[in-house]
Amino acid sequence: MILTSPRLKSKFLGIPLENPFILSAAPSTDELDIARDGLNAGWAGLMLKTTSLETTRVDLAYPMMSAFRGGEKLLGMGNIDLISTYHIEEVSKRVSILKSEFPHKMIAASIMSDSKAGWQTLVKRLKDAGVDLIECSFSCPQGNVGEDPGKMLAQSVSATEKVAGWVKEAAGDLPVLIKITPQVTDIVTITKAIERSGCDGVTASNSIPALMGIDINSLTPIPNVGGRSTYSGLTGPAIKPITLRTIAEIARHQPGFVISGNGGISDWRDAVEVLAVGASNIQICTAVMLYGFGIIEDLTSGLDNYLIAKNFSSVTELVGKALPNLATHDELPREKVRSFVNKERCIGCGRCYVACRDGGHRAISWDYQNRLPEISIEKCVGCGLCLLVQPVDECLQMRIVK
Amino acid sequence: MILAMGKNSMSNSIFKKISLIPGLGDIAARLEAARCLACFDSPCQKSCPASIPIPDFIRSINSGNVRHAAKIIRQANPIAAICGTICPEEIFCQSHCTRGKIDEPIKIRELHGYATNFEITSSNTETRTKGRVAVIGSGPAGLTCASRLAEAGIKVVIYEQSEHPGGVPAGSIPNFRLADEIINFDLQYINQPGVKIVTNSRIDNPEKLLKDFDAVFIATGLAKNRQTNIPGEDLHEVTTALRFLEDARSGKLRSIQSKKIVIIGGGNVSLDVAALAMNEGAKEVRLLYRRGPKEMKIWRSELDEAQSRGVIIDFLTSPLEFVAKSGKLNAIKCIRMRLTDESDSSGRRIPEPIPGTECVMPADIAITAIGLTSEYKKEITINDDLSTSVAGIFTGGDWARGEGTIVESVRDGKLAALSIQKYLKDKLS
Repeated sequence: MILTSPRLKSKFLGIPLENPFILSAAPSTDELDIARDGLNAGWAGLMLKTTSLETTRVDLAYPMMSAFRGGEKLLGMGNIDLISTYHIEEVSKRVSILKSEFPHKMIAASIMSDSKAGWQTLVKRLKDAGVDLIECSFSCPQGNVGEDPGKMLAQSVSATEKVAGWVKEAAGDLPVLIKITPQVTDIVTITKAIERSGCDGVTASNSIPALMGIDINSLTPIPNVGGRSTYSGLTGPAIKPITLRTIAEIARHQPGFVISGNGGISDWRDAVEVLAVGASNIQICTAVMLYGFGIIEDLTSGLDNYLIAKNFSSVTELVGKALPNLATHDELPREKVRSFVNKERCIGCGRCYVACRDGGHRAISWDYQNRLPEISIEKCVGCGLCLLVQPVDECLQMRIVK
Repeated sequence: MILAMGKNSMSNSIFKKISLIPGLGDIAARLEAARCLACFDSPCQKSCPASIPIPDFIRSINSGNVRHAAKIIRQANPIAAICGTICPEEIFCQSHCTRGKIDEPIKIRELHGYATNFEITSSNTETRTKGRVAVIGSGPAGLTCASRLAEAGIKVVIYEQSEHPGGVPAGSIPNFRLADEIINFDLQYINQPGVKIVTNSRIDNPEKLLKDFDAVFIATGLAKNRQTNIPGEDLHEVTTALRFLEDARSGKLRSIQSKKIVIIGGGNVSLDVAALAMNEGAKEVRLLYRRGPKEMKIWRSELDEAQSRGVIIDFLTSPLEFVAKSGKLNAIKCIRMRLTDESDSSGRRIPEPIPGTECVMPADIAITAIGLTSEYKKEITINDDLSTSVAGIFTGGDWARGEGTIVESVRDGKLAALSIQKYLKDKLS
């Protein structure tokens, strides 16, 4: 069931999107037939995996994937992938093919190069092929190619502004997004440089450099590539809070600057959150790699049902709606809050008791007879730790006290 | 905490009134849905006669998108609430669940019920509106077919011979298993513009309907109990399972308190009767079955339930005569059986009496439950697509197929609706 709803439609830099869900530049968009299946499944558009000039050497190492699990659940996915092994000649062809097959979907392409001429050639080739938008990878965790290989372009304000300017100069009216990394001292100095360069917006943000784990038997980091390993790009649910912070920070300081949300969005709830802090749309890769293109059905219907339930007439209305509620720490209200046990919901596990005893303020005592926690209103400072360990909804509640 | 989307307070739920139906709460449903492996080839869906996209609706429950989960289910199965309450998952979807190879299979019907329950508590029915079709019988097959046809814009009239629509679920499944509210909820979906249900209307010659309708779907079901044909069957205290269950469902059952009840038969219907008789306060409930436990065509959970309620089961025992004393049933003369090495067409071993083992079981009421039949004879041949040897006549459900489950009738109803649409397209174009 592909859902089409007027509420989900939007315009992104002049490009009509039937829903806000776009396939990000990744393995799922690296083969023509796979990309085609994604669009047929109902995705509103795609970013073809980052391409380069034929002269750029792409030397992959396998295996490249690894996982960070919490029990049964995969919290994070790591990859030591690089950019696409398909170069600009082939990717330009694919842009033309997909554009003719899917005239109403956004066909965008991601690029990376090492020189002004290189970046501008890539832009020109894609523009000629009829691409809708260009995304520039300034943030591959394995580093950019070029004069300072191994470093990410988007970690330098001056390099970012300079290269983004080259790209926009060649692109002209064609919309350009710069894909940034959250791993910087101050994200806003980077995004302001991008705004100054004339580029249209950012994709916030890329995977995050991480060491995925160590095999404690062989003491080899993972993924184990012939007995050695390297840092991965971390994606998936674990990075969503970082993505949210990155987007919120940009949106707060550069109102109106266009942001495409990316990084850790797995379901429609995550999408609502990312839109609410200021992203105009959602790019997804890891969730598709794990569960397939079919998740689009639940993404679109879930978001649409949410918009109906909350009386939003369109997804655009939701963008940035949480920002007025975001403040700096010193701006926060200093009300007295305390935790209360809801005896109707308490199942008597005592987890709040242990947490408060050893990690809080010893405000909870334990009624051994009835297996019930009791909270001292004098001792409780309202830190909220107990709510983190509650096994059922609303067995504990925070309330403002006078 | 899940906000508006998945919030489904059980206290608002009609399930609360029905203590025997274990409904999943929000947390339990979320945890259960998260266990689903979302297998690529969905063995659960393949083994569901209604072909419900099970991994899809479970994903939507998992994400808190319960409204869509309910929509997915109802699109595949128009009598979603009924099946979400009583479908025997252990013989269908659940029996093939891959998760069972790790620990326990997913509680698929319970998740289905959770979604449908959300739909019940937050219902807003959608309406839609070439051709006219008559459906005979308002059971699961008839209702499913009618609903599918109506969705395609076809006008449907359902003829039901009894007072109430619903067929087996509404007539003879005990109330404690399936409440009226649940049946009525599904009926509400089927009662859409384009569908008219005419009750108290018996059709003796379906072919005559072809004058007024473009096609006819016969789904009368099996509304008659097979007779035992043993002496004494005409005694007032000897009744049939269908009559007993129907009387109980419609509130016409006379008190059986302090009576000894003997039930003859070894299928699910006999177990329903036994559980109901215990519920109604019978002094003793005994079930006679001529074969052994392995040969019973039943769902194990219902056998366990009957036994845990105190039903006595005499396997390998067959009745010879209903014995009366001063005109009233007093006992049943029985004989013990043994299984021969020969098997019947169903693959089960054939029983034979052991000479000299006659015995007498005291009984105040005897209820026969040895299978169902119909008073309508089958004078047509049925094709795989549920069309028949008579052009324009289609058939499905228990009458066409023989005794089965509700969800198999849903499958028949869906298939017949497709075949009828194809037939109408050819006929009317």
